Amino acid sequence: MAKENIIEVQNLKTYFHTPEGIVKSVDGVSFSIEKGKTMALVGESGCGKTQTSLSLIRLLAPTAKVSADKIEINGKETKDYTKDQARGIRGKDISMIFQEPMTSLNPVYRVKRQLEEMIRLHQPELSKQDTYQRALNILTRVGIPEPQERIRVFPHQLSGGLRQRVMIAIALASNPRLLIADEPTTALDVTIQAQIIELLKEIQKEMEMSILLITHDFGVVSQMADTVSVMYAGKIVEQGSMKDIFEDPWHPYTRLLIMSIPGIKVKRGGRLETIEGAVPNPMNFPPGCRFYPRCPYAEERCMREEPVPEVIGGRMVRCLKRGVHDGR
Amino acid sequence: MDGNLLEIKDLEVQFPIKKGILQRTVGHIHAVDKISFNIKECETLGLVGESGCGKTTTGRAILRLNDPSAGSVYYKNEDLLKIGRSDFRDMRKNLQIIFQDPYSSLNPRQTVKGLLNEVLTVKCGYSKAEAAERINELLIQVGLSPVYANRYPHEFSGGQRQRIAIARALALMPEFIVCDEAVSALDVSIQSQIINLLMDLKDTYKVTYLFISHALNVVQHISDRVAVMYLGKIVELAETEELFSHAAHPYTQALLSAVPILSGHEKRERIILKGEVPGAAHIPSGCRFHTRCPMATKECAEHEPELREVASGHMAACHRL
Repeated sequence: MAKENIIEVQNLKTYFHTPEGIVKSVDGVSFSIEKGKTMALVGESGCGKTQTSLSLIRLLAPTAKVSADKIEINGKETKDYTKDQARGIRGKDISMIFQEPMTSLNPVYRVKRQLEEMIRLHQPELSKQDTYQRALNILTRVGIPEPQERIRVFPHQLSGGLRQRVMIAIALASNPRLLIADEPTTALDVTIQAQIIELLKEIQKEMEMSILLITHDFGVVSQMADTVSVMYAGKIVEQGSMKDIFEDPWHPYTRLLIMSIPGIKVKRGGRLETIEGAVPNPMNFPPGCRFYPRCPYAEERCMREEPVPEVIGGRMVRCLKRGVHDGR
Repeated sequence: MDGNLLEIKDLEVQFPIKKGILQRTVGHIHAVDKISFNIKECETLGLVGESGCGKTTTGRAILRLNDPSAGSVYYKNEDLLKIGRSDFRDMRKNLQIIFQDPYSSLNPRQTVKGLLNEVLTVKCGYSKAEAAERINELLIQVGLSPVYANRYPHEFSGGQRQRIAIARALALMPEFIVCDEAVSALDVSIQSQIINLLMDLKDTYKVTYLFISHALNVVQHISDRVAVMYLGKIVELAETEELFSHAAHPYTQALLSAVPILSGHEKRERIILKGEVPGAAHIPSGCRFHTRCPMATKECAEHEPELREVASGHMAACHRL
């Protein structure tokens, strides 16, 4: 077996049925992540990247309807799982860390209780003493100094960086095969961000864990990802290796997104690229290509025809005018 | 003042720590500790640092939004911190601020028109008709259609709200604007629009900016000079190109190396700092950075280094230089 995929998703659709209409947050998303690799899911706010990840672990609002051709996690087909079965995926197969560690840790329980709860759920055979010991080991592993002290404090007594480390510790307690990291460093300062990225990479290597990295920060992507999927309005518009996407983006959206960040391709004080307009309303997507109202290269055809995914040389792009913008 | 719009000397801001039922002051947090720098006319000075380093407090103190406990801010040969309240209010027309969060810095109960109208009629003494005309002008300047004038802030997206905040700051034709994390809350594509807008306005109206941000790539893009703060002190100040290519202070070096390079293959030697910023209530002795500095020696723990010139126009505060 050449490649082992930890997760394979085909044609994932997450629709929210609201009184005003159907909100198509995720609309036909496909991807796979190899064992020990990191895929970044990139896009602007509201493009559906977080909803995609929540669909995998079924942490969606009750109004959501998930459908897919395939959601294979760690060799198990999970698309028709019931609520109870889905609970089995969380923790054991997939763990998740969130952007704001303060809101995802329980403020009224000490670190000890929150971390040991996770260990007890997944290793009920451990004695009280062993559970505590394992909790300390994990805290040490994620680089928390003086774990015996820190395990007794409440989340608000920790700094942002340490809180994120505790979050990671809890997520790792169950030895997951896949870690979903939703904007793991957005709320942190750059020096702390560098520490957390380094930590995640180390642990990933050690545990051969796969990571689904959700972010809008291309800096973090370039540090961590092996492959990149760019999402726009509920669909993946471009997919490929990190190098391909950065060096030679094919989709106009990817290209504009990269060119709009200072310090990459635009020289200091020069004009940055902008993307006019806003992300379309997910209740009412434009016909044809969803990006055409904001695309500087759009022509009449883009308004009518919906681009189909084209796979060339191991990368995917969804654009009728692929390559037009760089003269090819 | 030879080309300086603002001269900041020994600026110090302290916040009291209060404890107990009687809320007695038991100590002080030195948020900004005797810093001095100049801002030249028509320049953009970037101010960077991690959370809690005092960069926002510095920006606010210059506009007297926090009361500085010592020091002076010279603007046109007058010390802004010494003049009376009503005189200062007149002066404030020329000095404006744009905040980070466009959701909380606009009054939700006022329409865009009402918001700008207030500024124009009260501060500049415009008549209603004049104000209406100026509002249209302002909205066009910041890239919004004048038909939006009767809408409320909640009807706009984040980027549009930030444009309204900029329009409000511009209404008084200020000479100096403090941009406090003005683009940090925005998506990259919107962020680039606002950066372009700020740079256009600088060219057209000769505005001077103090650009406060933790996003180093944005600061590098927009600033002429950059100051780096750590725990209430400026540790390094230089022209942007110089600072980003020849950072002298170990903290600046670590900060710059922590910024991911945005490219598909280049990898850079990263200096990963240990630990976190000590709180401003527990400032280390000697050099404030010595607890995290990879090059610290005994001397660093004992004596505080002065900010001095290490190359032409390049200031740094470190014993090792």
